[in-house]
Amino acid sequence: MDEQIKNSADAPLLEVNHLRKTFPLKKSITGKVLSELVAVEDVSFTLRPGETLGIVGESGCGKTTLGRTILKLYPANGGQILFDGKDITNYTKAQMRPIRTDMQIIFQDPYSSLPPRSTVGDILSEPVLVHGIVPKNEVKDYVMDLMEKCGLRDYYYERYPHEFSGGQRQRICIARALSVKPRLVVCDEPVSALDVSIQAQIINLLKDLQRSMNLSYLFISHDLSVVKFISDKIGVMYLGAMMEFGTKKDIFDNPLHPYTKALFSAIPNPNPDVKMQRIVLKGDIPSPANPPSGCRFHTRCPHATELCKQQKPEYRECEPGHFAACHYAGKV
Amino acid sequence: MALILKDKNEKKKNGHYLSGKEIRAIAKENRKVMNALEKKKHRKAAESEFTTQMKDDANILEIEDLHTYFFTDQGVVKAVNGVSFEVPKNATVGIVGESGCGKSVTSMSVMRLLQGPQGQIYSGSIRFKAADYKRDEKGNPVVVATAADGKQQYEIEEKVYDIAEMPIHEIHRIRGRQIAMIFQEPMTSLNPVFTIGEQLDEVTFIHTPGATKEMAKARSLEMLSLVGIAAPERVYASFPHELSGGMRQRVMISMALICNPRLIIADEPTTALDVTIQAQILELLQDLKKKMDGSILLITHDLGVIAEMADYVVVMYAGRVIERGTVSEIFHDPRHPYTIGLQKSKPTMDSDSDTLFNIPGNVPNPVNMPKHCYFKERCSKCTAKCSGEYPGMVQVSPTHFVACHLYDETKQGGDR
Amino acid sequence: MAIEELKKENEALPDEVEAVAAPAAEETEPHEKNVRLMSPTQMVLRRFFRSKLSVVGLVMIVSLFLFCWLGPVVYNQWGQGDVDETGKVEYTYSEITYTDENGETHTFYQVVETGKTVNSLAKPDKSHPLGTDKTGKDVFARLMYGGRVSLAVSFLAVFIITFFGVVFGGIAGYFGGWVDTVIMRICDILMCLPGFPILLIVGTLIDSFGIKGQYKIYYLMAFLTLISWSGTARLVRGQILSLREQEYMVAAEAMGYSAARKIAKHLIPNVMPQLIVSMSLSLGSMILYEASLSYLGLGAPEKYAAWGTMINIVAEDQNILQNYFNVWGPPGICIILAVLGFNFVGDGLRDALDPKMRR
Repeated sequence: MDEQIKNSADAPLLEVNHLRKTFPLKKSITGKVLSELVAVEDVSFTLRPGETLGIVGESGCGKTTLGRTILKLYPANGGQILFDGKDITNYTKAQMRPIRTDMQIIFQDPYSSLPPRSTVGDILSEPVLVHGIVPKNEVKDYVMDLMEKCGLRDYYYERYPHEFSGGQRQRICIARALSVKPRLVVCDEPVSALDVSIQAQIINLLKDLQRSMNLSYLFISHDLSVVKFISDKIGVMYLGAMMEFGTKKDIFDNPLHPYTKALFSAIPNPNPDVKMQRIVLKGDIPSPANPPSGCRFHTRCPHATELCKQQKPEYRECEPGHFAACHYAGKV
Repeated sequence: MALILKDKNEKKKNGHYLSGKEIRAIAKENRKVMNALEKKKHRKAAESEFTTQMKDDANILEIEDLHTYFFTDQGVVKAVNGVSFEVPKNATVGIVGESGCGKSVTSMSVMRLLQGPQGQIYSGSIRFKAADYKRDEKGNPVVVATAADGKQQYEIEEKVYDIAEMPIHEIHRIRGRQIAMIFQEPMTSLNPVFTIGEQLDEVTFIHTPGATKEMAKARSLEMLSLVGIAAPERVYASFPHELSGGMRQRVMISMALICNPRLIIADEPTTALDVTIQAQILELLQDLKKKMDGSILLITHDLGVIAEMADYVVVMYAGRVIERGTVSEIFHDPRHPYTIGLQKSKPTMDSDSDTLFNIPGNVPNPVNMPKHCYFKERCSKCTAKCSGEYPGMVQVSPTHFVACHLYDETKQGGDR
Repeated sequence: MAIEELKKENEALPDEVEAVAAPAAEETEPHEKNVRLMSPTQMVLRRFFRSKLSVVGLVMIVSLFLFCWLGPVVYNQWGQGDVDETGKVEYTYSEITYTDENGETHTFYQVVETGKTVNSLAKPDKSHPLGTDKTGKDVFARLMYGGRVSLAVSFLAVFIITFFGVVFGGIAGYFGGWVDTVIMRICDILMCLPGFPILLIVGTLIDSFGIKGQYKIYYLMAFLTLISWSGTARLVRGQILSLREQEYMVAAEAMGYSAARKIAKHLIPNVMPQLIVSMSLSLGSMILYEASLSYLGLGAPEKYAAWGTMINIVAEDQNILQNYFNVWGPPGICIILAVLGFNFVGDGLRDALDPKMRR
């Protein structure tokens, strides 16, 4: 661990350049792709050790695909993924295997992400044994220690996942991901399926673990308030493309993109006396299989002009470290 | 096969699992109770058996000491365990609570949609003030006037039904016509093989005697435009899969409104939707609230939605009501440690602290509830008294009730 | 009302359950530690035994097995090939009508006295509980020995089918791509083959190879497995395709497990429930197959009993069909019992192992 921290002091742990991921929709008999769905288009960012990058967006914006493509669970169709300085974009499955311990994933649904017929002990010891994280005779102690860290009681070791509530299951998932001592964890909506009081527990647990294990998170969520709480940098996605990217302060204090502003105002306020003036977006999210021309957001944007329909706005650095893809960034 | 072998060792190692004898005992008891309750559900009963009186005439729905149990193989799950609250006329009451707290089961009990024979209303009453046709001795509706074209107008009278006592085949008097429901999952709540129009018209046909096709269609289109659908004719002719989630939820809402129900139960109407779509639907519901002549029972886990929509709030935890009052009482003067914790643990847009407040621990397993306060193990303000009996409801203001030992002495007002 | 009494009576019920479930909860221990639930196996058993039909099926199957394997140990005076040679004198009458030249009809009764060396077609009595068949073999004993063959052959066939199905279905489902396409097209072709005609041809071929008659049915059933694994393969493939989308499989992928581990530890155990169900349902159809083949004369020679062979007799002799129910009835009933039993158990297992399939 110490060594790793030393040689990666300031270099980015993860660098993503112009990443593109498409899914074929229709194929000819010979296997030629006739039409495709662009799930992620031209996404770039860097993530430093110990940092958290929050990705926000609505359903169908490609945030989950982005996370899985970075982990090479899906092959990328373009661009570059640099992990710890190595270009892993074209690594084979066998080449990926040793790096798998460095990058892990936590899922949204704590019910389908645990194998139903294994005990908690089995679920947690399997990766430790397979990757030889600790010597065989220390595995149980290691797992027990990990369980304690993740807020799981020792007698859970012999129980089955179906006996636990969502929050406890999510803790098991976190423990499983951390059992191989990863450096990057992709959290794919880890708290969306949980209750409010449990959400807070899990977010605090993730924060504590980040501090003690020097983890980097790619935190994917549709909930801006959760992302705000845990992230250092935030990216806002819409229909596969990055709309705005910047530090937490940039995004929250000075949102440049109209979509980000609309997202902020859509969150219901838990104060009955505040009747806020809400920007309600018209219409529905267009299908990602058939995105609008020009700016992807122009069909719902309250400030759209003729230019937005015609020309795709450039993803540009409007302020130092603060990117946005809008012709009128900051002007409306 | 492997799992069976593995389990044998399991049993030796810990006594955590039920023994075969206990399982058989549970099954036997369950069968006995379930059979009796099923029999009651399907009995023939005269109308007088399930008509009662409201306690307060200003209410449309009164739920009193409702117990809804699920008789599972592992024991009795008391999903709703003595819930009482009322819904006044033209008001929106929000039930808020976490998953498994019994909020949906409460609404299912009101609609009598529980999955039998496991799910049963064990005891308690659900009094609902319905507007039903007045019937003569033979059970036929009384005709007031007959229009020139043969359409008959029936006399309407208000009757109070106890839904919990109603035999299941009488429930059509209420379901759909008097109480409508909006479900969480708009994607699966519409039948994919019929057009939206057919599904909407059907509601009119079922609940309005003598409705013609033209009447039904006119009503359906009217409702579609009421819920803010710009091209009602197009949506009327389309199939559910052609619509997006937000549109389908609008259709569901219009379907609920067709019969002019006196009560709409909205079970997590915005949970499955995206934030920007959720904002649209909330806007619509607020708008409808003003327009329609009826009450809304809104069930959600989202405090933000409750704060925006509701007039009265009921907070539930593990099958019981732990606090209820007006929306400003609950949000500005919460009394129960759980309500306080729930509000604090929600990350808000304007907070800047480093760690979130959280309520430790988990909801107790529903099969074996402790005798003491269910929140005891997670509560930060626990006293010696909390190990005793489950706390009763204490009135802290005319409209504000809380079930917590902290307020046992302070019958009126008092500090936090 | 009865319900009120019940309620009063049961007022104590929930507390009782609690008392059973949480014996002397200590203050220091969290409440949840003492909550006692059911293990996965217990839940499966509970769901299985809830249905009366599956219990009936299980009883039928178990008693058939006991009958066939333990029966001959107790009832051992006759083996399957033993002929009762006690002999007896039998009289047969026949009517002869003769018309003489005057056009008068004369009727004679001819009485033939035969001294048989074997006690054939005996009615049920003390020494033969179900009588004897045409060659003087004890029906009851043959029923037990025949059951061994029928059940063993079907079990063997089902296991081989399942093996092929898991291997090919697993490969197709896991690897996908062209491998999947090839295997699935083979399945399509196999599904088009008409089973019985081919088996008849294969039966003749086996004869021409000079394979001993008593093993013929095994060869035939082995051939049958070769052409009927496609259903199981499809089931396994479909199951694996849906399991692959489960997040715990994605997690296994992200953990960097090898393909072999993923298949053996994560996929196969989760396909098992469906497999067990399909196996128990196909056992019934295999027994029917075996019986039909034997009935068509493709089974073991008469000397060796099998349920189908035992019924085969009626095809040759109308007299037996009409007058000797005790010869062909019992094997028929056994076949019905076995097929029904396996189907009941299969349905029960499906409800127990795979509750989602029910609705």
